[in-house]
Amino acid sequence: MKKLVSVKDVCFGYENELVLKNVNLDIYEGDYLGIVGPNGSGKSTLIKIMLNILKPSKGSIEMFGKNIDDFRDWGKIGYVRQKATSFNTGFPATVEEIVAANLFSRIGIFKPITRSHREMVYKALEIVEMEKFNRKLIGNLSGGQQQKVFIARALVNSPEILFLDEPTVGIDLDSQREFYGLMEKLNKEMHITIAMVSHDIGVITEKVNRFACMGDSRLICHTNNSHLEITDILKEVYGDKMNLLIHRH
Amino acid sequence: MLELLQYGFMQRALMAGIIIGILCPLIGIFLVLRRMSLIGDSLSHVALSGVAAGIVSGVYPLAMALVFSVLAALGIEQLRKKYEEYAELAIAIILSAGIGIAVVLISYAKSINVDLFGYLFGNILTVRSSDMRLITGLGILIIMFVKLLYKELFYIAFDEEGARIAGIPVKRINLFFIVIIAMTITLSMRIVGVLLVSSLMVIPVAASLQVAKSFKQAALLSVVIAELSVVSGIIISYYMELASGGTIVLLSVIILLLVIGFKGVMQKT
Repeated sequence: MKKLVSVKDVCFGYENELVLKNVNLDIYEGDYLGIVGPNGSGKSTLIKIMLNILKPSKGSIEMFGKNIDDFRDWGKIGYVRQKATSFNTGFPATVEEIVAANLFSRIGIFKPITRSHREMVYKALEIVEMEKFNRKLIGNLSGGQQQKVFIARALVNSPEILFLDEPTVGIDLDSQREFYGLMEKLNKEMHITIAMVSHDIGVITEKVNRFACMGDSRLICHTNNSHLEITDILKEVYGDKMNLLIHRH
Repeated sequence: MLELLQYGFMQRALMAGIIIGILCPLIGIFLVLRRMSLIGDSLSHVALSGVAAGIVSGVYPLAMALVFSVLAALGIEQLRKKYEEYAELAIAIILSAGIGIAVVLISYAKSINVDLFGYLFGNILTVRSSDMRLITGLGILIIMFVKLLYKELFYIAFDEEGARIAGIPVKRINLFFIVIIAMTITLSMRIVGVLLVSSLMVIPVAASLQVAKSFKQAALLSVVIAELSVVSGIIISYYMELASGGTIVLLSVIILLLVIGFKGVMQKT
């Protein structure tokens, strides 16, 4: 299977505190990878390093076989960041304008948006069933609808891999259910590789096909999803009082 | 009205006013949405020290103001990197430095006070042909820059991190943009005055945000409101012998209040 992302011996620290210690992680084509771990275990930092937002103090990242610093094909990557929906809700932008933004790099500086770009925006909105809202102001939508718009923005370039950092925070239960349904559709039907950081351990263990657990600044495990194995690992990370309840969305 | 256009200074003032009426809100909308409204105040005070330095040294004041404000803009970018968690601190430091230099220079050469008055509050009588050439040339350049980079500036204003990951050269565009802000402020000084230039960048945008249904609409509407304020402000200040800057800004505030009132009425009905 094709390796899309390779994290090699990565270390990272904020001032004197080491957040990641020698982390190694590979993401393969078709993976639906869930990354869990307690607060401050370095999950979001790891995603940001993979996306070259943060620079590791040691180690390297390869994206589609290229060193991340030489990687230019950002259209292959979609990203829905943490608290994506906590933007300035007074920003006067329509759903269409927000989704089209991710095409700007492909369109190029000094070039206008054409009809074919608008069609790409429409298709991305169709995938998340938000095409009827294309002229609405983003700030006037509900949290769940906004989340869908940000997923559409991440999908507009037809990415091969989608990174999501705690995407269900602040979203109601119905919207969460819809969200996980959409992720399954993207992974199974559209063959998009997914790497998702989440606190929702119960759902993650139920939905994903690969599982990574961070704790004490290390990657404790990176495994295929197996409930028995995962329960033991989570007890190691979160303590013995932790009971894993699998609930289906 | 036609009689007014017979005067060369009025033709220059109106022409310059129309250009800055496009420039200020066009730059201002990105500043407001990035919560950088105060940068206009900061750079305009530095531009004032540039004007003072120009008058003292006998160099063309607007050119000197341009150099000072561009250097200050680059200084803000550098300081923002040093104080990443306190972005507004960089703006406050440069603003203080600008006022400090201006006050020292003004006290050094007391005779420049009269010349500075026009720069502080705006004076349509003082727009010279040399100013006009600078405003027209650089103004057109800035408008073209914003038009060509409109979509990238929009994305950076909405989500800087997202724009970076999408492959947009955020650092380079930010650097260009801050230089453009400095240029816009310097060009607008003659008409609106140092003390009020940032108002023309902010108030028309504030009014347009009340009613706009898209980003494009907000940008266009803020330009329309600014033009309305500038052109009528110049005409009123001519007939009533008022400082043009104050008249223009007061008109834009009146338009803002009318828009807020109109929106309130529409929401109730």
